[in-house]
Amino acid sequence: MSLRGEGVRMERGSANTVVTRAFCITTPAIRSRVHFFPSAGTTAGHYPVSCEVTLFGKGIERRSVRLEGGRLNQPDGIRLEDAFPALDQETSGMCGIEVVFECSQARLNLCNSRLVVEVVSPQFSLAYSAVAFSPIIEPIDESAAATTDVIDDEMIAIAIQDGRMLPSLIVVNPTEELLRPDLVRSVPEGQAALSLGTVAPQSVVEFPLDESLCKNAPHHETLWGSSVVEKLWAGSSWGRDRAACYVLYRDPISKRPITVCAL
Amino acid sequence: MIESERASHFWVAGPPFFSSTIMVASGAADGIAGTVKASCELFDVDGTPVQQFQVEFPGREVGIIETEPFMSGLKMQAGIAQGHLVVRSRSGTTHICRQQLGEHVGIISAPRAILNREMGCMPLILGNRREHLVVLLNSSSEGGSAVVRLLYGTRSPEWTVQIPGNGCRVISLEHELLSTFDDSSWQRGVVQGYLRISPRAQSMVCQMIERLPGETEQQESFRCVSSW
Repeated sequence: MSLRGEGVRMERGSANTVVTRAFCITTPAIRSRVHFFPSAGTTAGHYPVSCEVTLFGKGIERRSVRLEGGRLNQPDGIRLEDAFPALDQETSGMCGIEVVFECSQARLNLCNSRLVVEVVSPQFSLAYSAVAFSPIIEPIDESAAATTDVIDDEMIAIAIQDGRMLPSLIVVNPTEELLRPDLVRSVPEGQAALSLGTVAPQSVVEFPLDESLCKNAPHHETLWGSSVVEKLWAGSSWGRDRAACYVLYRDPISKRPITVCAL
Repeated sequence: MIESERASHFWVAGPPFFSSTIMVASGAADGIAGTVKASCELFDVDGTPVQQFQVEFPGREVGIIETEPFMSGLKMQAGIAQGHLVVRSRSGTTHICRQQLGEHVGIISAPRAILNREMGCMPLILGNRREHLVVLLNSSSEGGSAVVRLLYGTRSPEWTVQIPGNGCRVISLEHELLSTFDDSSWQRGVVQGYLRISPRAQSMVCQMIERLPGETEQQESFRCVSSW
């Protein structure tokens, strides 16, 4: 983490209301399940926690369901098509989900909570952990902004391409803004921009990294064969504080998803 | 010890069925010029130090650490040559593990340690055609235990597993834990469950591997279902 003090939007949040964003895949043959685990560190009580799941994506009307009955330290899960019955008719492909946990106990910090997304088809199944929960942030008065610093994360992605895996970057954009996820990669001369395109508001976009990675990248001989391993990074200039990023690896031949790494 | 460092604790396993490779990348601010050092310490299942080594690589590249050459001194437990690898590098670096489990390849981010009295939770599907290997890794130097509770249907059996300081254990959920519980309803059909882990040690890391048995060892398939 680094501190950034100029040209920033100031925000505040309370840790008893936290949010994370992830993606899921829905087709007639592929189903997604979402597993929740509300947690507040060492707090052992079973306080009520409400859970709101919002679905969005290209061609999908943004909608939310509120799941009551959740409790701290008690895992639970839903099938996405049960929560959103119209999903089948509406879309086929990737969609975004935003999950908000809220607890009435103001002193509790729910950032330790966890969300696992499971994508299942007759041919494969894949489970991955969503990016860490963070407090919901609200813009505050700009006059106060000059006096405070904002904490900013740098995103570093390690992308691996070999005979078993093809990487792509998934950007989940729950905002109303158009995002431009410009990444930077290191080259022998220094840095080079890797311009991927744009992510429309309320959508999820998969950017294949294979061609951009292979271009001029050195190949490493490893125990499992020849590989291209690259690091890519970005600041928050394109709104990463409100979006979520994942590296998805697919099988090079069948193109089935095999593993996901949250950034 | 590297000042202002980042330490990640990975479960690593060796041939014939498994292999683990660590990748280290430095941050943008200090990652272009100069070199990046990563120091690694490998412990066996009982927490005994087996290897200590340091790697250095150009800051603009991703450091690739193949662990297989360092694993010769590791003991077998649950039929797997395995250990606990601690990777330390300067703060701001990122560590991931490329884990090959049979034919399945997975990328594991640096696991988040579960601290004493916290809880970690992983979803799983119980059924008679699959087996779950629960990996518990004690990321602190003091010995301790983990309370493992399985929640499925209206049942919630619980077991306590001892893990030596810096050591690790692989436990078959079905064969070592559930076989001691007087319910076999989970064997009929497919049952959604959750495994909840509460360390009674300074910090622990856990991971769950699903094994689908085949007619021969070569036909077995593995995959990492979840890591905390």
